[in-house]
Parts: sequence; C-alpha cells; structure tokens
Amino acid sequence: MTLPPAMALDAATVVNGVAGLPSLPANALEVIHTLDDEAADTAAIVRKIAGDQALVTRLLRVANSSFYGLSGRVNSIQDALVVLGLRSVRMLAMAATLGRDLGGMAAPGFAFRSFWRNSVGTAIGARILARRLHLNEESAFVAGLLHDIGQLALATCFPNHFAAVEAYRQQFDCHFVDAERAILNLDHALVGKLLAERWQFPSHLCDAIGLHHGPDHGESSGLAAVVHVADAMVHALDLVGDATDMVPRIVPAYWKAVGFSWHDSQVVLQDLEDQFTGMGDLLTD
Amino acid sequence: MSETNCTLPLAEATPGTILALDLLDTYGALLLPAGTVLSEALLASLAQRGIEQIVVCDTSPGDETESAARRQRLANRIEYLFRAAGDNIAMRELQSQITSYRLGRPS
Repeated sequence: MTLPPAMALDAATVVNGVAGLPSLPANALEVIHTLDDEAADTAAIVRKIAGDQALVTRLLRVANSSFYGLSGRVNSIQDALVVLGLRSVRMLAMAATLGRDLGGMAAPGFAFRSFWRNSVGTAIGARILARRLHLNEESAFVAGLLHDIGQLALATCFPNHFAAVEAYRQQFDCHFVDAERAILNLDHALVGKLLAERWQFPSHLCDAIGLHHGPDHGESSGLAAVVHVADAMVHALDLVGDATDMVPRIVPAYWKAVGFSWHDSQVVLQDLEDQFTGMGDLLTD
Repeated sequence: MSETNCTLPLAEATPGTILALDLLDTYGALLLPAGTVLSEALLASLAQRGIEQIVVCDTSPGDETESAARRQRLANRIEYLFRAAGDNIAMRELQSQITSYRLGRPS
C-alpha cells in the first residue's frame, strides 16, 4: 500500500508534539522515583494519601471489597496498611491517581476505559510475574500501568494520525502496532519511551515501555518481558472489554524469559483475574 | 481450573445465573451476596443501577444445554481473540492455557 507521506512521524516530531502534554503531578512522579527505595517513609506516604479524600475513598473501597475477604472492616488508611501492606497501598494509590490524571489528559475520542482496564490488568499481571522471577514487583506494576502511555500520547497530541491508524486497523483487522508501523513508520512503544524520558522516569522504566512490544537491536529488558506477557494475558482473558479486541503478538524471546509450566499458568491466570476483579473499583468513578 | 467463575456482561446474564462473588456498589456497599440466584427482577434492578458486568458461577447445575451453549460461546470468543496468532508457538501455548483455564483441561 502507498502511504500518504504526511502521516509518517519521526522521533523529533513526536518529542515536539508531546511537549504540549502536562507533566504528571508531583505525587505520582515522587512514587515513580522512590520505586526501588525499600526505606520509603511510611508516615510521609500515609500523610500524602490522607490529604487526598477522593483517593482515600477509592482505596478503602478496594480494601473492603470481597477480594480481600475483609468486607467493612477497613476504616482508615492505617487499617489499609495493616491489611494490605505498605507496598500494595502504594501501588493502589498509584493506580488510582494515575487513572484520574491520565483520564483527564486523554483526548475526548480516546477509548480511555478500555485503555485503563488493560493498563491496570497488565500492572497486576506484571507484578505477579515479577514476583515469580524475583524482579522488583513495584517497578513491574508501574511499568504495566504506563506501558501503553504512548497510545494515549499519540491519540492526544496527534489525533489525525491516531484516527488514520485506527481506520487502518479496522480495515485490515490487524495488530495495532502493525497499523502504527504502516501508517506512522513508528509505534506507540517508541512514543511512550520518548514521553517517559521527557517526564524523567528512571531509565529501566523508559526501557520497559520502549521495549514492551519486543527487543530492539538486541536490547532487551526483564521488565519489558513481564509487561509483554502480562499484556497478552490480559487481552487473552478478555479483561479489556472491547468487542473487537485481539491478543497482541507474543515475542518468543519474552515468552521464554517468563516461561512457566502449564500448571503454573493456571495459577497465574486465576491470580490475575481475581486481583483484577478485586481492583474493579479503581476502574470506575 | 476455573470452570467455576467467569465474568459476564450483565446483558448476557440469564435468570438462574448464580453470583460467584459479592456484588458491591461504587461506594463499597453490598448489593447482593455471593451465591445469589439472579431472577429476572434482580437482573433488571442491576441494569438500572448501571452495573455492567458480574462474576458468575460458570456451571448452573441442572441446565446442561445452557452450560454447553456458554462453553461454546467462550470457546468461540477465545478463537476470535487469537485470530491473528497464526503459527506463533508462544501464542498457541497461551491460547491452550487460556482454553484450559476457561473450559477445563481437554481429556
């Protein structure tokens, strides 16, 4: 197919385009930068969460959901910390605030609901896989939440390009990345990486976002592999809630890197689906 | 493994479907406890409350035809989601894992 050359994008154009996006709020950035900080100050985290009433309400809703089997007993952030643990509370807080911030950033025509269901599901799945592989669970969770940020950036900063990609995808019923590569000559993984760099995310997070559809020139990342496989599982479990959904192409190297037995796969899928159901309250306003 | 639970769009739930998990409203209040057998009236009131999907027990005892129809629907949906898998071995492995998970291990 002959491409309209006006639709091709290059990195410099993308960097200029995404410069118009607001930065993430300081709270979210701070969590991202303390991901590997084992000694993160609990009291400070609680203070920050407690200062955001909408966030407190959402957190308590999740902590009280039947998933944790403690319905009605979690009344405060302190209770939630005891029940769920500091790391889980931090991750829930992260998911809840990011969902709100990114939702506000998205262009009106963007299917944010499916996007965010996939993001939250991939975050949960990446965390489950990271635990099995002894990778940093919190980094995996955040990488999962943000892996498709490039899609949101494209839709918001380059709406005409995004519409052309979407039309191509529908016409050929193909993978989204293939439509992007055909129309734009680049994909949302690269766009996401450029945005992550602009937002000064830690480099391992930028790499995981940039490589989540496959290794590039031999460069690989364990974090990208768990995000990649988790993403495929979320689509395969039909958690995205899109009638025309398609499981993204799995890269054999990543599949092997994550590798598990048939029995383990059943445990992982069950765990992923259960946790996703438990987090359902974070997905709705 | 999980032939017990599945998430269903509310529109697809039929009277007699059994809730697998407590159903909460957006404020965390309990609407219906796990184990509730959904009647026509309950389904209508859930729709009115804007509930979009529910987690239900996959096997409704005593209704083999419906269970078979549901299994067929799940199998078709998995086929559709994996329609671009081609001969990608990793994807075929995931597909078979998902099929086992949704429908039980093939004997």
